Amino acid sequence: MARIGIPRALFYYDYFPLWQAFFTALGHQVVVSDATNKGILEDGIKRAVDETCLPVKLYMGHVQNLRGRVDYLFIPRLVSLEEKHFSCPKFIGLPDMVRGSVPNLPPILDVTVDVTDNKKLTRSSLLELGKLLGASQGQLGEAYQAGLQAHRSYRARLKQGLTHAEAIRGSTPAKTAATDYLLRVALLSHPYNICDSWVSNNLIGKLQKMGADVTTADALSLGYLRQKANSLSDQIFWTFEKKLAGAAMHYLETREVDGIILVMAFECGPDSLVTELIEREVRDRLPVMTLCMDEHTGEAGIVTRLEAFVDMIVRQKSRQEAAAAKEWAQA
Amino acid sequence: MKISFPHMGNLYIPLTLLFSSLGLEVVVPPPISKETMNLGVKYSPEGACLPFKLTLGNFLEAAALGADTFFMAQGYGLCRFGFYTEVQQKIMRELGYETNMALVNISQNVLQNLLRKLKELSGKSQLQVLGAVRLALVAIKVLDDLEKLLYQVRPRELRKGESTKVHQKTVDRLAQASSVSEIRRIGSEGMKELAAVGQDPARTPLRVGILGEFYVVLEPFTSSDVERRLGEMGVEITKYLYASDWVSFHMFMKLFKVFKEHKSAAEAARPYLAYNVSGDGLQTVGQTILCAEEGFDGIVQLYPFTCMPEIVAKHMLPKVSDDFRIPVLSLGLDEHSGNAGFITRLEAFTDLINRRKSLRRLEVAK
Repeated sequence: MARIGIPRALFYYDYFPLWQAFFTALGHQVVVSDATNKGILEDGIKRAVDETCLPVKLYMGHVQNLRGRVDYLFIPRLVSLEEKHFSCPKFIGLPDMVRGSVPNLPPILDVTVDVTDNKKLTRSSLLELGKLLGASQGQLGEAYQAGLQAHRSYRARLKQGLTHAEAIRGSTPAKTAATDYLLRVALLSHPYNICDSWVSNNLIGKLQKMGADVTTADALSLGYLRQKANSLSDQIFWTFEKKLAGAAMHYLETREVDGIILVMAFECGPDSLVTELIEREVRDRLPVMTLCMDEHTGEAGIVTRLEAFVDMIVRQKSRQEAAAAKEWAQA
Repeated sequence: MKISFPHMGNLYIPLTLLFSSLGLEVVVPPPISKETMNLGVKYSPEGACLPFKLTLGNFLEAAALGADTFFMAQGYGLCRFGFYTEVQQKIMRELGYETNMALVNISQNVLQNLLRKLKELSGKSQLQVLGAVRLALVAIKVLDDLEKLLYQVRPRELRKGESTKVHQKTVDRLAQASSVSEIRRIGSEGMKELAAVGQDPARTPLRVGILGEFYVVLEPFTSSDVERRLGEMGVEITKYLYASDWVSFHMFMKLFKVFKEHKSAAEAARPYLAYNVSGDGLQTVGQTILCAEEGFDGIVQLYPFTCMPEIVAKHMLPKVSDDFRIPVLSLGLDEHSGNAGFITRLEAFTDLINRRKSLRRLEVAK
């Protein structure tokens, strides 16, 4: 039995249940890095190239947090997850970037997924991983199925409105439809920007405290989001950004939320353009705000902006309600 | 229709030839200047990379001169560049311009997409379109050959700045040319004139490879003309990114399934970076190794600040630099890059590699 380390960063929030089920089914122990703390961030900043985005710096920190505690590090190379759609170049180079920047690491298990240019790679790199871990093809197949099943039920929990952390823990929705909120806000971002409460300055918690019901793009189905994104632009070729664009168009149409907050990491290439496109599309029709974060982002600045945004929406809503009441009284 | 396009080095010459020989009215944007940059920066998302801002600046300046159609590339699987036009188009529209984009998808089948787009724009026959493309390709090749010779002559010239002048004169003449034979004639005359520039045969210039992101390597404005500055400091530079190479790979070799581009660079990079990260990141890593093996004295990596593929490469470059004992200077470029800081760093770098070279010579002599 080997100890397999998974950094609690980047697509951990998208795929951890899948990976955990896969490795557990193969009889290995999965070790997750600690929740982000100052030391982890500082280690990451020290090792990553200074111009890299915060999420990658953080990843480097989590990798170092696992050093000495695991036999292997699992760092997949997610190139293309759907045809003609890609991940950011930094995801494509991730295992190499880690090797290049962090010394004295345990061996890295990397599974490459590139369904656009080389569909067979997923299978062949999985087989290679199996060989390394001493698993037979049959065992791999079973573990793969277990992973998929875990992933499906994770997605289902997200769709029920659980936060990523709750859904990863596997809790069933204790939350009945909340009715006592002042406003509903959609938080559109890569999960790794908003789910790590240390990095996001507990953005979700703060919003909830201010009386907001918070929802994210992961509460909607992926196929639907992809299709919706086309009404903004049919040229978005980044899988993750496409999801965000689709969600923005969904909320614009349904008015399920009172406002949209876009959260992006400073230096994020795809977001720098797609977020702009979303903001330009939405801003005249629905309250929208973009928060750009890096390791220098202070809590006070975030709080001020959130408060201003929430106050604005609440005020707008109460005016609308008052106007409606007046109209009703006159009638 | 008045067609325009963004600047990238001398690419305006072949592009003007391409469109005007198809009977289209061309508006060449004013040369990139501080104003272009300011205009682009003003209307671009702040996190966008420098090429986005400069190309938008080109569009806005050309639109002010009456251009209504912009020729540009797009496509999936590239870096951010593939998505520029979607956002630029939206920005132009919101500013009240009713301009259109003539887009060529360069993700695959570049030649077919280009021919189709040109036919659609000009209404000319396949044969005429092919003729125009050939004219442009000849001009690209001639311009690149002139540049390669310039890089050899410049560090050896006796009178500083002479080769630059001679080269520019030929480029200006090429901008007036209109037929394949004329381009070839001006090209070969220009090559002779360049070769005739007074040189010091005893000089052994330092050799530096210029690597990095395509646009900033090709557009001297972005890097305060790093090639000329290095050349005048007595450095012979070698570039690995040329429009002619790009064209011959993406338009022709891929068509015939001859995948040769950067193959050796990709193989050299493999122990450090095992996958194409789009853009030129993989080539930057691989070519650094190949240059080191060829005995280059140093590498200058140029990239727009926040460039994703080059930042991936930057994670491996320190290790490559150590393992292959080759100094690497990485220069991230954006609208805040200042000349003075730039020159100081280039001088420090050339001093360093110069000293390193003479120390090595001493060691060998011992």
